[in-house]
Amino acid sequence: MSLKNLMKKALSFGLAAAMLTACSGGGSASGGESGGSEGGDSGKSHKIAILEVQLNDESTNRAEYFKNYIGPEYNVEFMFSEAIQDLDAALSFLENAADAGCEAVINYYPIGANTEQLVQKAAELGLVFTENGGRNADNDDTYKAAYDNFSGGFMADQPDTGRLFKEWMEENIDTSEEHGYLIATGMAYQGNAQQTEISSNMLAALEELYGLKFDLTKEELYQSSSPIEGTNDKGIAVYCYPGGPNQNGWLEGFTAALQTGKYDYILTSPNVIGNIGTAISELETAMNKDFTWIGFGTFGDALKTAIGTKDSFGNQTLAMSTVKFTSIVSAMAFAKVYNTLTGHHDVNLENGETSVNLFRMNAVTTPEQLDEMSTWDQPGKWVADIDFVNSLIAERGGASTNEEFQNNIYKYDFDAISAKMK
Amino acid sequence: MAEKGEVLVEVKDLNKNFGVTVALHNVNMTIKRGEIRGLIGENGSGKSTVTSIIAGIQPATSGEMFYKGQPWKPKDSLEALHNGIGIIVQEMGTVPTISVAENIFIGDYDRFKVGPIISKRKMVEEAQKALENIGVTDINAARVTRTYNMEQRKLIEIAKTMAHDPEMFVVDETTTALSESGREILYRLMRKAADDNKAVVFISHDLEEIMDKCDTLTVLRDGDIIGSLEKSEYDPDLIKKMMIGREVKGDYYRSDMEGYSDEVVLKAENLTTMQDLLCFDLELHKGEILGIGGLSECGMHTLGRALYGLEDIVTGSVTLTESGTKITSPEIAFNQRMGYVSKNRDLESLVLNGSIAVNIQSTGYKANRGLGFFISDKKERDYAQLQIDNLAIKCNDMFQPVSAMSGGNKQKVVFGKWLAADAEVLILDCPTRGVDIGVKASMYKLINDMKQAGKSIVLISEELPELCGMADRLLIMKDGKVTGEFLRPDGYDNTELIDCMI
Amino acid sequence: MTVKDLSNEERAPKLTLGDRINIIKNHRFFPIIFPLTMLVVLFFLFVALTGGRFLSGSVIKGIFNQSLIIGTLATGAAFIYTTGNIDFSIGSVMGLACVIGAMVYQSTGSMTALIIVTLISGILLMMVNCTMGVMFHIMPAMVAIVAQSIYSALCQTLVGATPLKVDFKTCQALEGSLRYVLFAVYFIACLILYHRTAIGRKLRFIGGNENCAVQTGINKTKTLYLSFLFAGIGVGIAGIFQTLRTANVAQNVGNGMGMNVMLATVLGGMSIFGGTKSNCYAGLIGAITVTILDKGLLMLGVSSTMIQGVRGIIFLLLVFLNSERPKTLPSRQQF
Repeated sequence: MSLKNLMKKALSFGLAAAMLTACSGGGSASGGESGGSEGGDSGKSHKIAILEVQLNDESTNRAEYFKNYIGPEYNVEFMFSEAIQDLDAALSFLENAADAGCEAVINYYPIGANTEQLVQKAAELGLVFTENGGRNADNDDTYKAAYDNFSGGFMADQPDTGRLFKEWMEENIDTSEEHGYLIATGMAYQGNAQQTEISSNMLAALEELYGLKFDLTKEELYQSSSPIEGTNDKGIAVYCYPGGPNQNGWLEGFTAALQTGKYDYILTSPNVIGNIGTAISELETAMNKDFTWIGFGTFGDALKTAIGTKDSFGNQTLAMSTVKFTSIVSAMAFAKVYNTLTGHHDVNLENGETSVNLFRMNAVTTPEQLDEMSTWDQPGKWVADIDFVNSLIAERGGASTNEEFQNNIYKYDFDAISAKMK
Repeated sequence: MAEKGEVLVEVKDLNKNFGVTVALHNVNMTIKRGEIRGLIGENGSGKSTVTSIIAGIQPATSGEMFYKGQPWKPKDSLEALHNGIGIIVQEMGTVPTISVAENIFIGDYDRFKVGPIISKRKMVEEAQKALENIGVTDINAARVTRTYNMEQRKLIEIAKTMAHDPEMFVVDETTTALSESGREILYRLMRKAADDNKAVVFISHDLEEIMDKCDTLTVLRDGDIIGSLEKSEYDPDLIKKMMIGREVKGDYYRSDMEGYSDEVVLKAENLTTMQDLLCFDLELHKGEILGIGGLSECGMHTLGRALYGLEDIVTGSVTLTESGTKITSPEIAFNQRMGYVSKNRDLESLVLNGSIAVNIQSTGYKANRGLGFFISDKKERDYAQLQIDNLAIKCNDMFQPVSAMSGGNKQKVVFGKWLAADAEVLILDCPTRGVDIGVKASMYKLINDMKQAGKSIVLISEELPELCGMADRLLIMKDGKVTGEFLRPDGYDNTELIDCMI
Repeated sequence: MTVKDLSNEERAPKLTLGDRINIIKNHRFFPIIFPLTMLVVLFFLFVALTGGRFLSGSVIKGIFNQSLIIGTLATGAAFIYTTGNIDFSIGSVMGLACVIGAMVYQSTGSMTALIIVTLISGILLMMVNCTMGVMFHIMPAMVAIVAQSIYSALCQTLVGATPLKVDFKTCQALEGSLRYVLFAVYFIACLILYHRTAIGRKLRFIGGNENCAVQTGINKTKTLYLSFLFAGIGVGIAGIFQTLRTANVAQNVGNGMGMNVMLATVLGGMSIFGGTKSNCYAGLIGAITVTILDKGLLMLGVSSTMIQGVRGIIFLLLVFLNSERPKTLPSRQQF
């Protein structure tokens, strides 16, 4: 009985404490808001909701950037969602965000076909809306319709990412030696743009390098939902292996394909840096075969290990990867909704239609390069600094057209960034 | 050296409550060396509670205990046992999945350590010896406990307690699980302990047994000690009065010789079930109390279930003669106004977590309809309240869950549900099992009242006195067949009945 | 010899705080009053803390929108939980019903067809679940495990990567009118059936003690089918609400909802193990409580990570207070 009492007391105390913290947290937040509106140079304060699809390093980094860097500068308060897993939850968050006083939503939930519905829902709730994604057959009409509250899409320039892989292959593969290629096509068969572009560019690179012709079209190869041999007139071993590590048996099938010994180049279009590094090292030792691996990645420990570790042949485990700077992507998203909020919606329009703006990824090939880059995009050293953000915001004298907006992003390329960071 | 009459255990102002339920109220008791102390009282009177506190099974809410003059507060039953107070409990006190020897020396394995390893061989030897010491030779200490039957497991428990050579041990309603020979073993051990100036506390429902075996007798009622009697003061009627708090007549069965009508209401023909029954025939008449007796495994419990449609019938049939309905499922039986009181009350006859109301109302979903299909709250409440009042079910209100009620009260609820349903044919399987004397008497009166009201009753029981006392006609069964039929007017002769059973 | 007289003695036991709480908790109205009180207290707490903003129309509408689907599912699921069975495949059943409905819509273009087919699919699929359990004597919980994976796989295969689209303007139009009517009719029908007719009582009695129920003339098979039928109607209706709300059916529709339904039920003060204290509105109360909590905390500016923590603590507290207590004396069985 006494134990139960104790538990009861502990629980109610905990609850009370939690409620108190919650309330005081709310209090301080609103206090900050009012304080900001007096001191801020933009006059009016804004509140923007961020709809996150998963909580990871990237979303934490993003929250840090928004809350502590962008927030004070532009007098904006940010509100973050929990990990939103389905459309229903996304709609609920939109409703709750509106009730909580938000004026805009930056959406990271992959809505694909449902852009129009979310845009209209947002309009109903009085929210400005931007999505992490682009135009496709399903939402084309929505972009054409140019809704007043729709700031458009933002996403990676996928063809450009694909190009980075293609260029690397063309420069680094010696066709005089005998090689076999294992291409992880990821969810390209479900239409994932990033994985489609990368896989397609990898296949194109092989075509050009060897002057070969596949028996099937490139589309048929990367859109196959089951593993498929890329048979060709030059007899080069090419194997397209779809899916991702979240699927049952994916890793097993992947290593089994490597164990055939037919392939020594591993080309991965989905982000599997953290999933296959160990398997590759083990196979290299066991088969005494030197694998060369390039693949899509993101900043983090997994990438650091994969690029920084030498395999048993003295080469980097991962020869090349591509990364993006979270702050750049975040800055774009923010600038898009902020422009609409501050009466410069036309910056988000392109030929009278809602725009999709793109950012470019960066290739990374050496541990030194990676080490340097990973110190950049962090509190106190954001790649997308206020100067850059201002260059995208009409109110601050930045881009006044979408073309300018896009150019200002492209202009801030790797060279420009490294010059600034050094 | 310990002397006879020296106080071994003293209990002062012991209180125990479970929530609002008072299990013990300021209990004071001394247990002396050299005596067999009997504890008697109705279910829920607190006799098991007080002994289990002494033996360390549960703590008291308040109060003090002294053992050999020292304050006594065992933290569990093993500590109590190691210090010389053992208990043989009513329930299963052995772990079925370990060996007999491991059960006997549970919590005490270290004494068989050879180096770091516990020697199984040594333990089994010791256990075997412990069994022999209490006069049990047909149990192999090396075998897994579950291979033995309930009685043998009880004997294992007794051996376990005795192996520690306790200064005092409690026997808590153990004898019901034991056969005659098992009882003899236990009685001998109790007597020997008393002769060795140790102490025994003996709890039993059986008045005769307790008067025969105990030197002094303490009566409890509702968590209070009502009084203690010396052997010379023993008087069954007085003890019953103390237990129940009012006068109880020595004879509580029916005394009339009234017969029953010739009309057959329920007929079993050529009834064969998957087990137990083979080509069984039976006729139940209107207004008849048909007693069915025999040893526990004789098939009479299966018969009861089969009559109510609860058994898979291979051939033959059970028919309600008036309507010609064949009883093939309990649903049909129920709809034809039959009722069944199971031998396993808590498992089959009651929803324990449900309230008294919920249980009684379960037979009245049709009767309590108000408008169309809707059930009337008022009708439903009256339905339950009527039975609570008629049967004098002890409760605060009808919404009290039955789980916390005593066995007798629970059984009243079961009866109430069938009385409310106004069942015409009732199959009662051991209706007074685990019910104390006071309630028993009212049950018998109820059964008789139902007979008077023209209901037909099949009374299945393992207790001969009850059958003899109540039945108009008595069938004795053995191996699934009737071995004898006796009629009330002829008088029942116990030896004749027993001859038919075995 | 002494004989004590008990008649005039003071026998009220000393009650600890725990005892007192237990007495309150075991009161027959507690499972009804407590969750409702918590709900009302939470609501007005947020009204006060948000300076009245919590009373606005959009908030109230939002609460209704967000708790409707789980609330409807839970109302139906209560019929199953009551009998002591757990069917957490209910989410995937709803998902599959949505998928079938949407496919019919895509081939006919008729919203009426979608509504009818979704409803009927929900009912039929639940009947399949029940039949698997009854015919093959498999525990409904086991059936649910199998059914859940089969139905999810079917959804994935039928839908594929691109969600099935339903014209969302039609959905929007129907959301207002149809939903309110459909929900009100279903919920009130359930309330009446469950609490005012023999059906609910029989279900509860089976949940309380199956053997006893059978011996009291209750046809277990028939009653189980009935329980799955009412659950199926709820699933079908929830499926309709789901489709109307999202105007599309993705392959993961309904995922994890079975668990949310259970959570809502427990928060609403009902044991998912059924029994005589069950009711059919706990799930709705629970669903609304969750929604109010989520919405309110967000409106107060509590960060999403904090919300998870606070919600966790409140859930724990509610479950702790709602949980069943042993009402019997502790068993003395020691081993």
